[in-house]
Amino acid sequence: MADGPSGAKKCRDDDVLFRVKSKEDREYTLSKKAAQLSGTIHHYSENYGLDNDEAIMKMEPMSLLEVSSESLHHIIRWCEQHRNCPIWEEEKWWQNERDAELTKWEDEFMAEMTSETLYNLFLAANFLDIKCLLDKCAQSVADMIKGKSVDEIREIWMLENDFTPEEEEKIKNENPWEAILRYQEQLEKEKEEQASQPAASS
Amino acid sequence: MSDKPESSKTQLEEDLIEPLFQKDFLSQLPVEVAYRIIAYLTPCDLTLCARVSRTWQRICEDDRTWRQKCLEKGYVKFDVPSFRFLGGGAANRANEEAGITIPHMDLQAAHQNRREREIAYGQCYERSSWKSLYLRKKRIISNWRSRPIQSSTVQKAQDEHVYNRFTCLQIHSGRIVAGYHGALRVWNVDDAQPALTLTGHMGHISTFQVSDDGEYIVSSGFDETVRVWCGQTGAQLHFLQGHTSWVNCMSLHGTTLVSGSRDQTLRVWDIVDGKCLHILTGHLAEVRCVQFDGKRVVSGADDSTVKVWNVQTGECLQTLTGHTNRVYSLLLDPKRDLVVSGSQDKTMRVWDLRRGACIAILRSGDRRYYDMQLRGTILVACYVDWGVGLWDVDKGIFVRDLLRLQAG
Repeated sequence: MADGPSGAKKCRDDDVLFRVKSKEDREYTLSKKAAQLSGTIHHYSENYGLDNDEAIMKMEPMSLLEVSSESLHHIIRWCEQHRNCPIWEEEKWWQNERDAELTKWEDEFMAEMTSETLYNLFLAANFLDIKCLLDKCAQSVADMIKGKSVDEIREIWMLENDFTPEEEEKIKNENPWEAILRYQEQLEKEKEEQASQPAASS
Repeated sequence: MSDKPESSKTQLEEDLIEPLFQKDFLSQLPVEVAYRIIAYLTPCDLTLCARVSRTWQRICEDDRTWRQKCLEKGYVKFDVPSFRFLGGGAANRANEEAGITIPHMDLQAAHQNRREREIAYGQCYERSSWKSLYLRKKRIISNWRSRPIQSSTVQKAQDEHVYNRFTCLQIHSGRIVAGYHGALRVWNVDDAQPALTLTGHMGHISTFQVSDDGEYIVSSGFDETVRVWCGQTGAQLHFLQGHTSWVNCMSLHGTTLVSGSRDQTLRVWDIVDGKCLHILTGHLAEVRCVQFDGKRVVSGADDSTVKVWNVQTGECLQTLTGHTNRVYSLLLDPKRDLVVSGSQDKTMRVWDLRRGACIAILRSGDRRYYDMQLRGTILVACYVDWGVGLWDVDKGIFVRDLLRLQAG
């Protein structure tokens, strides 16, 4: 079992609830471990002496003026799901290992989001400084962009093409991504050939 | 899925989102969050996103992201090559440091031009250096893998002379310059057409130099003369006489030329007005090689010494002794005040000019060195027989030989 940042405390962490309040003044609670996933809450609890269970149980709700109820609801779901995860390595965040089952849960979680809620969740995660959620959001957005053409991207996000035609032409020529694509295709072809070769030769 | 603009607009904070826009994740989220997103994109997607809009382009040119992409592939930046191989901008920097202005290349105008372009177009041509590195590597790899070597154009000297072996060759801003018996030839790289033939020299041309701006070609040969040609028209501008034996080597910086001769002297020339500024005497035998950084001249000779000269006064500043045979090749790194000399005694010596001392002796077996180049601390030298070796100059050790690629 992985230790949270305040691992040396009493075992029944789940009973100690952190109280938070959304922008719309609705109150939510989350377990102490889940709350520790948020850098912002972690700092808050350090600054306000919420370092023992007793203090937390007596606390006033922490106001999160930037976070809507909807986002907060999703965030608490996320944090409770991730409370026992190993500490997120921010320095090498692209190398963090992901548990298969948890990944599946994350994917389903993300699939529920509309563009609007994802955007707000993204902002909330940034405000609350929840690295693993930020990362997942980033990945989801990146997945939306991946493999699309320039025109498709402009259409989906309703972006204006603010390059002049000359600039566009120049940038197009400056980015020899065609060469890269060709190279990648070449590599794939080679892999296929290698895969088929032993069968053919023997 | 992003097409539901009306429903929740009231929930949004005015200062966070322009009501007119869709959720453009890259532009509207804080920039550090945007970087997190693009970190998940492939380089191919990244280059593509850079073409979407100015904002996207600015984000997708992020140096750190591209650095990461490069590091994942193991691509690293190399130090710029050592002095004599600097071209274009790097040479200009070296010139500026040496207090030399090149009249034909107005740096200020170029800078102004660039700024105006930035104001007019925004910085849309700015390119992350790591991105350049990544794309360059990819292109090279893909070229190696996918392109057959195309049948190249065979350039021949038209007059099939008995002595038509080329003795020296350079590629300079779209032109190939080659010297052979009695003449220099210039070809255009683009259309492989001969552009100029510079005739006048008697006998072989031993060496030539092209100025940074391509305006001048300076050549010398076994006829004891140095000739200055116009790089555009091929007209002979100056005919520099003075050496009493053949000229072995030259080094050009800006419009100042230093030539080293078999007559044991070096001469400093101004190639614009064709005057000899100084005669550097002191070597006791044939001068074999010379390097010049705008301030200092370093020369190597058959008397086994390397001498450092002040180009302004013409006096010898240092004599570096240690080699036990002829010094054949030289390299000057003006930034770190390092000189590497290669000798017939089968060693290379690294000298620190600040201390005037030899800081390393490099050797690899029983082989002699022909020429070298320095990048950072890695010295690349080619052997007289064949092959190329690598040394670490700082540690003073031999790193490895580069194996010859086998054809077929």
